Amino acid sequence: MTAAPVTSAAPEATELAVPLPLLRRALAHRSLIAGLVLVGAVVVAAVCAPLIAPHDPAAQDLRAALLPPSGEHLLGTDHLGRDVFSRLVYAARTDLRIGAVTVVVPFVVGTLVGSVAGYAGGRLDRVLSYLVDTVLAFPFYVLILAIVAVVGTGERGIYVAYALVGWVAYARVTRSATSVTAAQPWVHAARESGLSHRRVLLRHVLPNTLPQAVVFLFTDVVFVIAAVVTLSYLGLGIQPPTADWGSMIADARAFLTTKWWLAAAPGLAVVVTGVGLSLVADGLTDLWGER
Amino acid sequence: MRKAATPLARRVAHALLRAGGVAAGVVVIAFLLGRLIPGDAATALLGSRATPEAVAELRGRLGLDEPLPVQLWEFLTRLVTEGDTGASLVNDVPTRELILARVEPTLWLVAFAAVFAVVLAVPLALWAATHRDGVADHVVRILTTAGIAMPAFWTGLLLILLFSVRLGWFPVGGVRDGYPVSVVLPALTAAFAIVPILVRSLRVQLVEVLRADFVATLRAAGLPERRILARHVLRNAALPALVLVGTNISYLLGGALIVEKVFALPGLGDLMFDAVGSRDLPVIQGVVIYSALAVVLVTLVTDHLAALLDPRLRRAA
Amino acid sequence: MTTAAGRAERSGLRVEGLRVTVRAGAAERTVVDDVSFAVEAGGALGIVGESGSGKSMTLRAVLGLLPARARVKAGTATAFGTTRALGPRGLRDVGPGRVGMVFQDPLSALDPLARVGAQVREVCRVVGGEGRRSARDRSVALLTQVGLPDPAALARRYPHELSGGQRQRVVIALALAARPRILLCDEPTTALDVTVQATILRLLADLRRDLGLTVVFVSHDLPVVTSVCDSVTVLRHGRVTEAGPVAEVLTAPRHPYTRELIDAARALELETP
Repeated sequence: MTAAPVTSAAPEATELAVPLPLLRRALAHRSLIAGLVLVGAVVVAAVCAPLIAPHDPAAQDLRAALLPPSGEHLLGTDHLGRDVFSRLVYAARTDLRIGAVTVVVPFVVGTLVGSVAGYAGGRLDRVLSYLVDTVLAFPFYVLILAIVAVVGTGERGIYVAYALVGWVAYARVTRSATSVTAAQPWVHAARESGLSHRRVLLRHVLPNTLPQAVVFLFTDVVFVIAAVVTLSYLGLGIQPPTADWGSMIADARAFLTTKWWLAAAPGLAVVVTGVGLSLVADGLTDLWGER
Repeated sequence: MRKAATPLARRVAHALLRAGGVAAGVVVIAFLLGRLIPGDAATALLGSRATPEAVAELRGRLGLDEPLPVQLWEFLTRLVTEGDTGASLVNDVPTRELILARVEPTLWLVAFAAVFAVVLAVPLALWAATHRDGVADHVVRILTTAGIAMPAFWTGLLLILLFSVRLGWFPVGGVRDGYPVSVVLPALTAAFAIVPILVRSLRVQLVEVLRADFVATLRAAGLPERRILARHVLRNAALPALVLVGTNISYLLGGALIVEKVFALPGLGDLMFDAVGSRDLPVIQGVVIYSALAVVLVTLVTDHLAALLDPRLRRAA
Repeated sequence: MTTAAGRAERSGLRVEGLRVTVRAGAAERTVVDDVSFAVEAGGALGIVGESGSGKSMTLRAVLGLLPARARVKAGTATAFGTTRALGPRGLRDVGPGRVGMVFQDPLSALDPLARVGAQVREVCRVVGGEGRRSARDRSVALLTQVGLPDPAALARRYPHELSGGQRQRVVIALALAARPRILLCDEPTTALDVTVQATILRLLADLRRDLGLTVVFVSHDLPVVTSVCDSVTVLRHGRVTEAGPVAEVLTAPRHPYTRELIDAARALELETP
C-alpha cells in the first residue's frame, strides 16, 4: 500500500544521528501528528481533570438543574444540576483508563498465542484458527453482554468479558504476520546457526510482527472505548455516580428534544478520542511500512 | 466438464464441515458460559437473600448437581431435539418460544441494514477509488475514520433528533407504525456502524479492479467511463462486496441488537437486555446460540453464493 | 461525430518529446524522457527495449492509460490530421475507439465476469452505434475475422474457458470492434506459448494488410519485432538510443546497446534450432 522508501535513513549513521531521521520521518506523517495531538489533548484533559474542571463533577444542585450553557457552566448543567463540562472532563479519566486497561490482557495473551501458533504451525495452528473462527462467529455485543450478565456488571465485568473475547483478534493478526515472517530464509538461517526456538521467536520474529499488533492495539482501543460507553449507556458498565460518557448520554436521553447538547457533547468526546486513536494507527502503519 | 464440478463440490463439503465444527464450538462455549458464574451459580442467579429451598430447586432445574459432561450432554440433547436451551427462569416459557416471538423485528432490521449498508458503501467506495489520493479519497477517509469511532446508540439518538423530532419523517421508536417504516431509522443506524468498514475494504477492491487491464481494454475500445464503471467495475466488485457483508454480518447483528434498545424495537436485542437484567441464563444462552448460528449460516451462504455467481468458480454448463 | 468517411480515413502517428514521470512517495522519477517516433499511414513501427526501458509506458501514455502514479509531463501526438498535446486521456480525445490497443496478458485484458461475445457486442453497439441485431452479426464476423473456430458458440464462453491464444484473438477482435485506424500492441505475444506466438503474429500482419492499419508494436523480443515491422525504435532507460528502418538497424547498429540486443537474439536463435 505505502510507497517505496524515499528518504533513506543511512543505517551506518552515528549514534546521535539515529533518533533524528526517525523524528523527521514521524513529522512527515500528518495523520500521525494530528492523531497524537488529539489523543494527547484528551489524555492531558483526563490527567489534569482536577485542574481543568471548574466544578466538582459530583456536586448536585437541584435548584440549578438543566441550565443552558453559560460562562459559569460551559456546557450547562444536567438534571441533577451537575456541571456538564466538569463531568465531561472527569469522564475522560474513567473511559480512557478503562479503555487502556481492558486491552492489556488481550494484547499480551493474543500476541503470545498468535506468535507461538504461527511459528509452530501444524496442529497447534489449526486448533487456534478453529478457536478464532468459533469466537468470531458470536456477534461481539451479544457475547460481551452475556458474559457481563454472568460475571456481573461494572468495571470488573468489562475486564473479564473483554479478556475472554478480545485476545482472539490479536491472535489472528499476530498469527498471520508470524507465519509470513517465519517462512523467511533468514529465520531458517538463525535456527541453523544454533539459536533456540525461543530465542529465534523472541529476538528475530517478534520484533518484525509486533508493529502490526501495536497498530491493531490502537484501533482496538477505539473499539473498546465505544463498547465501554455503550455498556454504560445500557446501564451495564460504569455505575453512578462515577462520571462516564455513556451514562452521561443515557441521562441526557430524556431531554434530547430540548437540551440536545447534553447528549451531543459526550458523544463528540467519544468520536474525537476515537478519531485521534485511528489516526495514530494509520500514521504508524505508514511510518513502519516505510522501513 | 465433470472435472470442473469437483473443486466447487469439495469446497462446499469442506466449508460445511468447517461450519459444522464452528457451530458445535459455539454451543459448547454457550454452555460453558453458564459455568462461568463465580461461586455457586444458583445462589448467584437468585441473589443472596434466596431461601435454601429455592436454591436447591434451581440447582435441580439447571442440572447443576450432575457431573459436567452429563450436563453438557443434556444441554446438547435438548438443543438438538427441541431446539431449546431450557425454560426462562423468570416466566417458565421455553426459550425457543420466547425467541421465535421476538425474531421478526430483528430480521426486518438486519435485512434493511444490510441493504442500506451496501447502498451507502458502494458509491462512497467508488467515489474514493476513482479519485485515489485526491480530495474525494481524503474526504471519504475522514468520514470513515469518524464513522468507526461513533457508537451506534449515539448515532441513533442523533438520527432520532434530526429525522423524528425535527423533521417528523419517522416514528421515534417502537413498531406501532408497522414495517418497514418502523425499521428505517434503526436500520440506517445499524448500517452506519458497518459502512466505514465496508467502504475501506471495498475501496481497496475497487482500486484493484480499476487497475486491471480489462478496464484499459474497454477504455481503449472507446466505451464511456461511466458505462465501464457501471457495467464492468461495479460488477467485478459486487462479489467481494457480498462476501464482505457476509463476514461482517456478525458485527452488524451485534450492533443491531444495541440499536433495538435505542429505538425500543421488541426484537431479540430487547429480549437479551431483559434476560441480562434478570440474569435469566437459559434465555441468554438461547439468544447467544441462535445469533451465532445465524452468523455461521449467513457467512456460509454469502461465501458460496459469491462462488456460484462467479463464472470462474461455477461449474461449466 | 465521426462519419463513415472519417472512419475509412487512414492515418499515421507521430509522437514528439514525450516525457512521463512516476511518483514514488515524495519523489518523481522520469521513466520516459523526450521520446519521439513516427509511423506513416499503414506502416508498422517496433519499439524495442528491455523491461523497465519505458516502452510500455510510452505506448500507454499515447492512449492515456497510464497507471495511477504515472503522469505525462510533456509531449505531442499527431494523428488524423491534427497535432495535440498528450493529456491524461491521450489520443482517446480524437474520438472513441479510433486508436485501438492489444495488451500483453489476454486473461486480465478481458472482463472475467462477462461472456466474450457480449464484450465484443457491447463495443459494437455503444461505440459503433449499431443496433442489437447488427451488433450481434458484426461481433460474430469479427470473431471469425480473427480466426476463431465456431465463433457463435465461442462467443457464449467466459474468458477463463478459452485458451491463451483464443483469448488474445478475442482481445484483438475487441480492439477492432470500434473500427480503429491505428493499433497499438503492447507485447501481444509475450504471455503466449511459442507455437501460438507465430499464429498471432501472422494474424496481426494479415489484419494490418487487409484493413490498412497503422501498427505500433512494443516488445522486448527483437526477432518478433523485425518479423512484423518496417522500422524500429530502440529504447533504453526511457530514452531513444537508435531508430531507423529494420534492415538498417539490424545490419549497421550505431549504438553498442543495439548490438548487444542483436547478439543476444542471435545467440538465442542458435540455441533453439
